[in-house]
Amino acid sequence: MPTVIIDFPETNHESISSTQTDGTPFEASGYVIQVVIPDEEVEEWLSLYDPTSGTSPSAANSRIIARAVLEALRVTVDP
Amino acid sequence: MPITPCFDPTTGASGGAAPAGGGGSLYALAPTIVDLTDGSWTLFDPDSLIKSVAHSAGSNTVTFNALAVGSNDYNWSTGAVCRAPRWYKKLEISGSQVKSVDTLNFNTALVGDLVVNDFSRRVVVGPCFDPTSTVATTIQGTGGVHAKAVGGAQAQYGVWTVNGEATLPDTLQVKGLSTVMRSNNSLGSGTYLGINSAGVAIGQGSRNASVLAATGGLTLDVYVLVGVGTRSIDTIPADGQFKFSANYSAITTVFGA
Repeated sequence: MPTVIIDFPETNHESISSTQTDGTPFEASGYVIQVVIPDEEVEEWLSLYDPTSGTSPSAANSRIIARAVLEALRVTVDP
Repeated sequence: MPITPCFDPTTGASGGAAPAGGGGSLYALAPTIVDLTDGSWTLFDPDSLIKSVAHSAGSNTVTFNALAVGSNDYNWSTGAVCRAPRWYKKLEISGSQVKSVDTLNFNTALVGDLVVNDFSRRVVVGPCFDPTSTVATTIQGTGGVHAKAVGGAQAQYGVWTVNGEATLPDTLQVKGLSTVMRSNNSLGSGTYLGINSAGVAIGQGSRNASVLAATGGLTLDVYVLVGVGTRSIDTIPADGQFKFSANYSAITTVFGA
């Protein structure tokens, strides 16, 4: 099962003006959480993901990223 | 125009500190105070939004013509197109033109007036490659940024990179400090601190420009740009004003091969 890493000291509350993956511009104030996907995990993560399928990746694999991000958010907001 | 320090930070004598090259100190450099009326700046204003500009006691007050329909084209921090007004000049240090290959550190201090604020605004100050382009990725600007919503008591300060930014959200900060580094024809990244009225840093952040090999292999002159515009998609009333001060310093370092 692949993993991800959170660079927690870099978690920051900021206002960001930038562009989303699909090119849509945005401006939002919120928590910036840096997710590190190790080089050796990239191929496996991409193999688990089909952008045309709404059920991809599986719930179990999705939780790996979701829980890492949400734990960083929880600790930042309510340390 | 070269960057001209106002006084020697050690002795207080006018004319600035001793030149840094050849052993002069870089400690406690006096910044250049941005005076948009001093004759050294050229205005590029593709849609004639600027009515006038005045300078007093270190602050610039910009008066705008009406903008009935807002657009992100006048927002320095988003989108591919940038038609926002900007003042610019070549970036020279002690009479030498800074080039895109030089390792440049450009530091800014921005202070936005909280009272003179007739519309939601954004200001950027920093180095760029093409100040008269209306394409953000051709302008290639980075630097300090300040934004404030009309009517609000608080402001944002942070760092601007091409057509994005990272800022400390609206808080009781009164000044924003930033540094951007660029070198080897690439735009590098920037950092910032938000400072409150007690002189305490209350937030920080950084942002990559994510632009390498920006010049197509050419060595370009670097300019200083002071850009003004709207905070997002905002209208501007006739004779709408805002006021800000901007100071900057710039140094280059030769590290050798």
